[in-house]
Order: sequence, then C-alpha cells, then structure tokens
Amino acid sequence: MQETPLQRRSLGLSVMAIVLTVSAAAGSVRGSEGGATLTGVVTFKGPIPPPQKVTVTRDASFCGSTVTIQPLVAQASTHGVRGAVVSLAEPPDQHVDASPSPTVIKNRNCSFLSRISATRVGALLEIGNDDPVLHNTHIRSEGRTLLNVAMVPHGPSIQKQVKRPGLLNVKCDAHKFMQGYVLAFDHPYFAVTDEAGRFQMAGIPAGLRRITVWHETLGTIQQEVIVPAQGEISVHIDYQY
Amino acid sequence: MPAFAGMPEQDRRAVIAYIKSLSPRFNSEPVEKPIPIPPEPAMTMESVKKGRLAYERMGCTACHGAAGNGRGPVASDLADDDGHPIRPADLTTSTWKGGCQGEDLYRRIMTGLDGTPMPSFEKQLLPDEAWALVHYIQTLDQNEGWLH
Repeated sequence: MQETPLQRRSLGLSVMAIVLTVSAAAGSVRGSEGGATLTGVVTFKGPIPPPQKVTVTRDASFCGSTVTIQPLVAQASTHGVRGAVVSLAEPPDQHVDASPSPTVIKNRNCSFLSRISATRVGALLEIGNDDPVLHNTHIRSEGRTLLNVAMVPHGPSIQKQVKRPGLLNVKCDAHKFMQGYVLAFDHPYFAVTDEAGRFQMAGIPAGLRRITVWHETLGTIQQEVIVPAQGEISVHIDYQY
Repeated sequence: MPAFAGMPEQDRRAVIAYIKSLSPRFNSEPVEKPIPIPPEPAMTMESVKKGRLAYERMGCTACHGAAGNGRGPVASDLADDDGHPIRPADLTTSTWKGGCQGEDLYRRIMTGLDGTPMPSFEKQLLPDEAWALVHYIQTLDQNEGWLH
C-alpha cells in the first residue's frame, strides 16, 4: 500500500515514535488464567485532514449525489483514533485455537459495514447486500483479486474462507468511493479500536511483547510492552505528529 | 495472445510444465474445482426475453451498457488489478477473452474474470437464468443479424 503524506510524516519522527504509559499497580491487577489482558488507547493529536466530498456517478438516487469520505476519525476530547488495528507482532506458537467466528461485511447505504475488520485465517467472510442497488464486492490482497462477486439487491450472502494472513482491500467496482479493509491474522491476538480509540486483548502471554498498530492513513507503528503473567496492563499508543 | 492450436501436444505440455515452474503458487495453492456447466437449453424467444430481464436485474448495463456496447455509465472508471484503465467487453462483437461459444459465455458469467472488475454471478443466477442471459447476449452480436 502506498504511503500517504501523513504516514511519511509520522514515520519520519524520532525512533521512539510512541509514548508508552504502562500502569500495573499491584493493588489493581486482576488475576486471570491464561495470560494477561492488555487494554489501551490509540491516539493522534495532529491535524485531521478535512473530509472529502466525492461525486456519485451511479445510483445517486439511493447513494446520494455526493458522499463524504473521512478515513481518519479521532475523538475531539480524547484524540482516540477509531478503526486502528492492534495486534501482537510475534505471537506465541502455542495459543488457543478456537474456531474463528465469521466476519460480516455488509454493503449498506453505499458503504461497507464495517469499514475496518480484523479476522482469523480460517474464518469465513460473510458478504451481504442490504441496499436496493447492485454492488460488486471486489477483494484484493497485494494487488491480486481474491474474490469478486456480484451482490444483487437483497440477494443471498456470499461466504468465502480466509486462507492466508495479510491486508485485504475491499472495494466495489460499481461505486468506486466505497472502501473497506480486512486484516487477517494467523493468531487470535488482535483488536480494532472503537470510537474512542480503545481496544482490549485477552490472554496475552507474559514477557516482552511487541505491539503493531495499523491505520489506513496513519500507517503502521510498533512498540514493546512488558506483559505480566496475569492481570491487566494498559498502554497508551500515540501516533506522534 | 494468439492461438497456438497448431502446436504439437507434446510441445504444449512442455510449455505448460515450464510455465508452472515460474511461480510457486502452482504447487502451493489448491486447484479449484471447475464449475459445473449444465447442458445448454434451446434458445427461444422466451429464453432471450428472460435473459434480457436478467441483464437488467444483474446490473450488466452499468458496465456493458444498455446496448451491450461496453459503454455503460461506469465503464470509463474501471481499472484492472494493476490500476490500469480497462474497458468492459463490447458484447455486440462476439470477440471476447475466453472464447465466444455459449459455454464460454456461461463460464465467464458464473466465474467472473480475475484481475478485472468482471464479478462472478454464480451465487446470484440459477443455471437456467444464466443460460437465458447467454442467449440474450448472443442476440446482441450485430454481425449475426439477430433481431432484437
């Protein structure tokens, strides 16, 4: 994926690109079996690019004559970044291998819901169309088509198994402004930040762990954290500007 | 890409073996099962009319145009997987990638064409609907003089 100007600026800063705040007060640590719980928040205090208005050339009667695109959303009060994907960079070889649940991608109101998803290798992608217009959900990985299916109005859902890890780029060829991403992992240690930039990952094994954070416009950063054997640890990861 | 029908079979298989050596994907990725192609029913006015309805319902007009000439409203915005502009097939000429026989059209409709915006309609069309769509598209070929 090409770097955006914002990504180049973020990555060009000092080596310690992330402010890490670790709080693990002995009195407040909660014991839990099977590793610790890592909670945190991803923030960005830099300027947020203004939303883009795109003219709709097809199905404007439903999608609207224009749509507003805003890939970078940060909460005004906390600077928490929505839709960042947090994961362990080097997951342990041994981990609980429960059957992964399906990841649902809906074509709804001429956008993908959810815009950002994270899933396991082996999980099913369930693609549906809630709109009264034709979409085609076209998923590529490293520029190569993995899936391209016509989704007629209120037609049947399509299921496709995720077979390998990586970044999946989700588009609609009929409505080019539609954009989604799915990050697929071959381990269960990942989470997507909420509206306030918060995330939580359970069962993290103890030790020195490297966390990767990906965002579609801010890019990718990493930071190490020492995880205790049990309890909860919180981190604050900041995309420095 | 020209046809090499005149190449001896032994040479053809040798070329295939060589091509397979160019990417590890030939060994690492499983071979998908070919889609089943049921026998083609007879082309009738009914099947052509049914196909015309399917052409509209499936949104083919968006790319291929109402007249099938490849000039639909989104045709100029389309790109292939490398990001290069790509035009939808002109269905009025019967000269298409993958062949121009009925079975070739059926296969293309149901599998789509990887690397291009042409999607698969396998989950959206029943086999008889897909054949009806084939029949309708075949009537768009102006060289054959089919009546619309």
